[in-house]
Amino acid sequence: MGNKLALSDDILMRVEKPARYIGNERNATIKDLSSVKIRFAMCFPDVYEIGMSNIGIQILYEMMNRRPDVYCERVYSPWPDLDKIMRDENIPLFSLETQSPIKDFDFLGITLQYEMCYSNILQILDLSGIALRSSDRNEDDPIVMAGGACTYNPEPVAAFFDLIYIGEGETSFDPLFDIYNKMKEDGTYSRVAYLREASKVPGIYVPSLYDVTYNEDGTVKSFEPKYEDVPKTIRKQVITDLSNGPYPTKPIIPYIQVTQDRAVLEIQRGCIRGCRFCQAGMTYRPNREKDIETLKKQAIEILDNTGFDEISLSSLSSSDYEKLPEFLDFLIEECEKRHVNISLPSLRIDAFSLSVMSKVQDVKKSSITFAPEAGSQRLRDVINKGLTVEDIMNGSRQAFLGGWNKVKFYFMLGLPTETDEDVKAIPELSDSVAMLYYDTIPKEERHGRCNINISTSFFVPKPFTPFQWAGMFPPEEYLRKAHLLKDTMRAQLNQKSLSYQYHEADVTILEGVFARGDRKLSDAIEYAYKHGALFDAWSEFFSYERWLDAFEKCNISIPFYAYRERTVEEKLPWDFIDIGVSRRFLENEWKKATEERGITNNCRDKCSGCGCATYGGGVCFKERGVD
Amino acid sequence: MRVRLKFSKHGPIRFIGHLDTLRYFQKAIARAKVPVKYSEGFHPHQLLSFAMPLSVGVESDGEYLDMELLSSVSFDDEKRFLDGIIKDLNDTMDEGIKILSAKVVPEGKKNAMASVSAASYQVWYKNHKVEDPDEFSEKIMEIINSNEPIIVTKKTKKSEKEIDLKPHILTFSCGVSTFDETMELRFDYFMMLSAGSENNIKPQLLMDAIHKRLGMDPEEYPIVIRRNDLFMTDDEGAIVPLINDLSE
Repeated sequence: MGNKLALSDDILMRVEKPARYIGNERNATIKDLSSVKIRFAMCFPDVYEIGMSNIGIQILYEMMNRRPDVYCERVYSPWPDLDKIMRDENIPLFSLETQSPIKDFDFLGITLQYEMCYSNILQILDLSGIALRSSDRNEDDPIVMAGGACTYNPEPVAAFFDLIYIGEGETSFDPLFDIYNKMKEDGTYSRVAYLREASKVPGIYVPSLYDVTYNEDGTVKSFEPKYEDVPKTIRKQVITDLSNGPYPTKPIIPYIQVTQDRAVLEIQRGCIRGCRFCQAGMTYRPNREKDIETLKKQAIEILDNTGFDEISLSSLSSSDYEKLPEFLDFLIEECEKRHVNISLPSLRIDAFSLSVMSKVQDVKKSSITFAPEAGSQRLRDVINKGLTVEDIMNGSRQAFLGGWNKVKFYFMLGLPTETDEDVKAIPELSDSVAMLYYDTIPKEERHGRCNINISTSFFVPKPFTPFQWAGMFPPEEYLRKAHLLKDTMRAQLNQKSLSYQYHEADVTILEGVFARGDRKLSDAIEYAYKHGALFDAWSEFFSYERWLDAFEKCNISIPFYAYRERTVEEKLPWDFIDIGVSRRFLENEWKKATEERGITNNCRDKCSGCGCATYGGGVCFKERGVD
Repeated sequence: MRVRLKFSKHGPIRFIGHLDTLRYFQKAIARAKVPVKYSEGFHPHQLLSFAMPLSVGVESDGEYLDMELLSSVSFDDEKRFLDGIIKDLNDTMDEGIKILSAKVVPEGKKNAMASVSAASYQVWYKNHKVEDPDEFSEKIMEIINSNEPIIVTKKTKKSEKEIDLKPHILTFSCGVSTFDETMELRFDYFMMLSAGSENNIKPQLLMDAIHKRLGMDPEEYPIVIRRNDLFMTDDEGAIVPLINDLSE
């Protein structure tokens, strides 16, 4: 790596954390540009510290760079201080590895992990000197593509992308690159011709090849491919054999402290639980575990290659990994030798996990976490959480006896069918846990009072969940619920042991609009961006008024997109995507929830016939075979 | 056993700050499997101590770091043992930090940070701002060599105080020209200034005072600073390099 940086020393000395922009980190891939045919710029549209913490990007970076003819580099959103300098001084956005302009790449891939990054997509394009809309781009511009969690409804941002990858990145990049190479070599390449060919690759959606019409009430009337050879539906891509998939055991080590400042080991993908609000729980189906020998090998390699002093296990629900006890025994022994900490998110609180936690963390300083999501058993059943009061009480009692006195509770407000009684049940449940502490631990053994921390977010209905038809509430109603919770908490016997935080309501509304929006939203996103919207995921830069103004100017009705409950007859903007989970399954789950007809089994206990067995792998084919 | 390392820092990595340099070393030491000692407790950390923080953006040829090694570590041949550590570390670091030398610190000697008493720097003007370096250097040397004090206001976290820089200028010379990367002739100024916890004088402070005395706007004359080495005061009061004279 040469020492030539895209930014001058002067600029680097003027901006906050210049190391965000210098690349050159250990384990970053260095290739000779003359030896590669395809240059791919992989972008996470947020600041470096956030983007570097995303494991998906690291997996794709590893996978692409294994191909000798492809060079994948990284790019992140310049922080507002540098953003301004780049605009003032006409400095084009550059990649970290070779510090060269993004416009010179063959592909720009942007991962969309949360809706509030949408304004940053436009920043990336704008600073790169690439037209914001796919329809305005030239032959020389990179092919701009999207992937990631938000692409399960790509419509609000469809106009900004040439193609969108639906599903897991491990499967379809090879054909995309091979077609590109072939067309470049035989001289048949043009943007239009390439996109047409790409649209036939499994999982690839080319928005410009589809026409959407709307009913008078604004709902989608039709969604049709413009040509006969373009597929009508796009099937989510899934890697069935996770153990043999690409995984970065030599991940890039950032110079500066990033959000996920540790080694990350993905132990499984997907979740056997069927929480009805959870998008990841549906879109990552079927649940696939990595085999334990692969995990052991990868853990050792990552620690050897990085020198990180902490390792974290990544999955939607670690406790559901079948051989977790055996793997943790191995990991604890290995990490003790190396003085490496183990971080265990998403553990169910039970005797096993408490005993593990007491080995790897300081009980006095740490807290235990429950995510009951709803306060009453009725509502927990509606959302199919499968967590009972007894689970919470037993877990808490064992934790208190084990020396913990801090408990964190995560709940959602605004869930379908929620009543004021359900809201009040949150502080009441918390109070009974506090009570349990004082009943369980004798006075002389207590280290001060216990600390029950309640945290709520407002529920956002997401595509491809049983709750995708649900309505949301105006900000005032969310705040009323939050205040009701707080007032009820203050009336509790152990109120001094309880504390409460809630998220902003305004951001929730915007997330709701974008999550279930259609193509009409792209005008509003562009308008907001051109009027200053940037880093909306950061409260210091977010302005609700700016977005309200953009919606008004572009005729976007918040009640239409967010508050309205949809009927199952309605054609949804994302219906053209097939995630494996059938619409019929989602409809049944929605009815079962609202009619309070009980919970649905997890995938391991009994197959609920969601449709994902068609992928031919994972939990669907374990133990009991197909149902 | 305590081992002192001397290292250089060049290239893009100069834009990472002191704490991030510490974190960089922690990982490199773990990768190289240096038998370093860890603190007790749930979040053990390596027992490391840097001599003196280096400002963001500044390159250096003389940075120091003390590592406490496991008490079980022993060796027959000190040089071979230390060369092994240097090699293991350099093999796993190629981002612009390089270990230059290593030495075992005798029992009872102060750690690197407590030892530092002076630092040497090399300073030049960015973009060859000074038109006639010879004439300019003469003016600077007049200020340095005169008996007049150089009074500046030094800001610390807690207070502002007026100090005379003169006693803290241990050496100062100019007139050495080198070719820079673009093969243009560059004029360098070399200085050794008091450093460490008591009186830490940064070259920027001195150069600002000189510019002020000469009626120059410091904003107009941006300088580039490189740290060359760090020094300590030995038992006889002599200024010696931090790694050269550790033995009796």
